[in-house]
Amino acid sequence: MPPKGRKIPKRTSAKKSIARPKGRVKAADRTINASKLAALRESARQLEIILTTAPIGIWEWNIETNSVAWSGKVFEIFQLPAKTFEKSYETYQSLMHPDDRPKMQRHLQASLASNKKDYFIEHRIIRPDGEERWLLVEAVIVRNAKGVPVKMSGTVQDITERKRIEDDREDWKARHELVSTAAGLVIYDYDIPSGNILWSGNIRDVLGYTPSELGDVDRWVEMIHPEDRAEAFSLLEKAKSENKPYDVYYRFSKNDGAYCYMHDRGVFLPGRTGEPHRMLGMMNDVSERVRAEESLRESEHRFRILQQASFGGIGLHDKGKILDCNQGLCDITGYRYDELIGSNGLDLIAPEWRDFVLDKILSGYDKTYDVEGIRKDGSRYFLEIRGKNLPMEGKTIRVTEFRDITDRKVSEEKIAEQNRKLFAVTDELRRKNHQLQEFTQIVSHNLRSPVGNILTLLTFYDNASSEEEKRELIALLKESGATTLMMLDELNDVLKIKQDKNIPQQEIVFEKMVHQVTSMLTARITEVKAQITFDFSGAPAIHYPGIYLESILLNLLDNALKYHSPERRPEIFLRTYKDENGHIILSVKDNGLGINLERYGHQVFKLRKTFHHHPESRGIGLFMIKNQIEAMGGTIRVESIENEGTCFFVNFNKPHNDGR
Amino acid sequence: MAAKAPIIALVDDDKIFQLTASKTLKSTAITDTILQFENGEQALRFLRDHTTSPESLPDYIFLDINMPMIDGWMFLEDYESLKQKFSKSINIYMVSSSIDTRDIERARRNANVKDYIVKPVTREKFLELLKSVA
Repeated sequence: MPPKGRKIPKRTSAKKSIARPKGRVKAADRTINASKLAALRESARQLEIILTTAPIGIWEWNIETNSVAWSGKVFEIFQLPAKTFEKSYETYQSLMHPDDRPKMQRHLQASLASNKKDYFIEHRIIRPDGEERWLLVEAVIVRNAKGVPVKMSGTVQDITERKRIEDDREDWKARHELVSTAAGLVIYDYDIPSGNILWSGNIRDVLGYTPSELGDVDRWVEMIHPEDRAEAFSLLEKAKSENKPYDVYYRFSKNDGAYCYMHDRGVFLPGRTGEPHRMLGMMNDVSERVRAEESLRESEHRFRILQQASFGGIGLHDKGKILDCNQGLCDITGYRYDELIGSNGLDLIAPEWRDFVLDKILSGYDKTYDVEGIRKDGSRYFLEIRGKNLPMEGKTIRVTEFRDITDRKVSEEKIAEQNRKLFAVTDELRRKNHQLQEFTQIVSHNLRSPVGNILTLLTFYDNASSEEEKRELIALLKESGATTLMMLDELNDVLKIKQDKNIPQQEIVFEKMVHQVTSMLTARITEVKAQITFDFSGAPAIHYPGIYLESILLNLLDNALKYHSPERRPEIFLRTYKDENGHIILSVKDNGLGINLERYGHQVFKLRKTFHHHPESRGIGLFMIKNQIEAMGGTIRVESIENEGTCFFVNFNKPHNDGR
Repeated sequence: MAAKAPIIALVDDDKIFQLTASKTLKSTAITDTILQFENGEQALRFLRDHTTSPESLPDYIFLDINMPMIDGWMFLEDYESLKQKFSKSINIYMVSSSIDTRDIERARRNANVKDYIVKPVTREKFLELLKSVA
């Protein structure tokens, strides 16, 4: 604050200051002698010339009178109209930026109170148009003989532009510090002739040093890892001599004794002679990145080992085009690695399977499937494929594994073959077991029955009271004995069939055999006026045991004649043909009584089963031929409608999986 | 049983069994009324014809398994639906020369079969069977 007793003028009229400097000077200092006055006058004149052209305002403040004089430039600087301006220290104060006012007043007071001659200050003002400007005010303090300040004369300059540039520089400096700190950068400025280095940036965080602990270029070299030192240095020399950017990685010692990976990039600035005399650059701690890259390399290496060690072939492909593969794929397919890369993976598949595989690729199928592969030499092999779509770098690639499964296929074939044999044996065992059950039934029912009767009759005989009764019982005993014998003969016949697997076979013409059989049945055929027709064009002959075929035809014809309908003339039609499997089928169709298969179907081919009250029903025939047909690996079945007729179908060639 | 002698039915295609069995039964003096059927069909027909006259229906049926046409098993199937109409219960014995366990098991499982008897059947066996029910 200006002290109370001190008037605080400053400014002076611009017009006056420029137009009449002499008067001002005179009025301001009466103590100056004449020669000095002349010199002053001269200098003021020179100053006047400068001031009219230079953007510098001149002012004078008579402290005693608090009168102020300004040159025109001052008014320009303040952007004030000269006429309306009340020239006083207070007016000047009022234009001052409020924030700078206390500082300025303190400085002024201190300057006046001291014995200093020079006065210097930078401060801001706010112009009437509201714009903030920076001013540089310089002055000389004139004191009287007692040392009391009586006058200040000085200049004022608008230094706003300079200030802005300075601020910008400060800003940039701050930003630079901020960025280098945040980025973990160490910045250097290397003066080549002296070897000195000016360090900045985030030295503490990156290296753990203070800037002063880092030294000149020799110290820098020392701090590089011994293994990297020579190279880092020689590359620096090389870059310098070629004046090219320096861009090197090396390990650099940190304060804690550990090394970090540095990425050092610098450029050279030429001196006047054109020789590099200065180097600017930055060091970046890239340890994390290097470690990550190393572990990636290691993992890639491991993956490659794994892939190469895999027994299968692995290929990466994009819609069939092979991008990469392992040695396994080369081994399996017989191609070299460089032949496979870029080639079409479908070429490794047998042509007839390619559409199938392509379909799997396009649909993204990810389970295993078997196809046939084709090697470079054209040979084929069984191939198991499994593919999987994986996203890679924005697109989808497919990883496909090839596995040569020839060995497995061969084993599978063997197993399947063994299985077939096993099934055949099981089948045969089941059939034998079934036959055994049948025999139990036969023995149990058919053989025990007459024997039991014989025993009962013998008991009766023992208790018989008359000769006549005894004679009757003897007759019954004979009958039972005969039945038993017949039963044993029939069983024997059936047993023979079961055992006689190697019965001789010959080529038999059906038509010939039918003639042979019908001649044996002539009497009955004539009796019932049966009409027998046939069509053997579908299968005229068969390789078969003759006695079996005779027995089959005889029994089926006999059956058809026996169970004819009394209401119509018997018609029997025989036919042979081949079914869809190429098996020979014989059908014997009649228009007889028919069988209610729903009720009696389960008994048709059983021993001693008859379905008609016919005097000649014995029930052995169908049972017998069924055994003969089955012994030769065939089957027999029946279709019938009661009162319409019956048709028997014999399939001679049904594959007989007996394992032989 | 004092009031009336039981009626016995033999269902068997074996003529010799029919003869010996009826002789044996008569010798026991329990009954003289013996119905003889050659197969299941004949027996079923008789039962159907006498549904409403209980005095004519048999008290005991000795049923063979192996018979032409309708065998013992098929008889039992038809009997199952027929018996509802009878006003008296009939004791059915399965009588067969079969010693096949499958036959025996099958007969025992049938609720309408009282027991399975293996041929030949002695006089004592017949007596025991008839008494046990009486």
